[in-house]
Amino acid sequence: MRVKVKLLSVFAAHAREDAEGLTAIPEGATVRTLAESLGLSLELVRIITVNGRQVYLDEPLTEGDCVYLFPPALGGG
Amino acid sequence: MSPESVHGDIVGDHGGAPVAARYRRNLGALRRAVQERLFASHALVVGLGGLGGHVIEQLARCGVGRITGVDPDVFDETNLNRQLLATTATLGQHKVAAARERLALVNPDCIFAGIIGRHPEVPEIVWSTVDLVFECLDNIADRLDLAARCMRMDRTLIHGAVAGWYGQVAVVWPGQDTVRLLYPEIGPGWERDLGTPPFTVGLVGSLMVAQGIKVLSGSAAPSSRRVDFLDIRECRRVQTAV
Repeated sequence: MRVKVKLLSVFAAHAREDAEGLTAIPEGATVRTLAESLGLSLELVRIITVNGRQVYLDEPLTEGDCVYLFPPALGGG
Repeated sequence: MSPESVHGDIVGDHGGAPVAARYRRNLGALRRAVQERLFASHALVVGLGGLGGHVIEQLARCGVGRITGVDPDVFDETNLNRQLLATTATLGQHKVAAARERLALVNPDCIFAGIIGRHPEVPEIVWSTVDLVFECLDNIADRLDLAARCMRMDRTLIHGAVAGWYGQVAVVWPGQDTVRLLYPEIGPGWERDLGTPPFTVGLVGSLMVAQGIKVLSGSAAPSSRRVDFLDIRECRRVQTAV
């Protein structure tokens, strides 16, 4: 199946999209397996939304979901 | 200390209690009683760089009566893109000294005390009168240490951080470990340089002050742990529990 993945901040470089801007993942995948397949450090995945709803790493994904993954910001100086 | 004696010329306010002219345009957004409460408030601002510069400027203009600012550094040229207190005239100057000069110009009734150093050097006597702490730091170790101190001292912390087009703000009420949960087991150097543009710093600094004013005014009730994440490129805000 394919989902829309929006990677923000330091995650952006890990994007793996097809020509239609979608990311292929195995059936039954969760946010955790998606993040791992993209090479994201799970420690840095501090905010996750699926279709605008806040979820956690074990949320199962379905075809066409829109997933936002967001790490914490650090700077301030 | 009455506002009449220290906060500038008084103007009438349509039959209400008088308020100094310099604060009149705060009213409407801030009730008169809130304005009075700010005059009696003491904010500790840790870090006087990007976020800290915006924070102390706005706190002073809001009428916060006392600010203690802490920073060990001097300004250099790389600060000029985003740090309000960094100008061609303040290069090489301690950030604390520039802050003192700036606030004397902006609002001489705001009492500013500067500490050239890091937050562990803030004396207990200062902590004892602090109403609210603003975390304007740029590294995880200091952020975690300051949050731990606030927990020990039973003080509310306003957390803010930026990374390129992104940022986050949180009110950390006494007893909450929000900052530790944001940065668990993360070593230094994990963050690629996304830059620190002035618009992100200004926005996050403003949101920190807005949340802080709500806390100082008593209008924000303690809530569960949560953080507001900002995607400025898309004008998107996501609030989440942590």
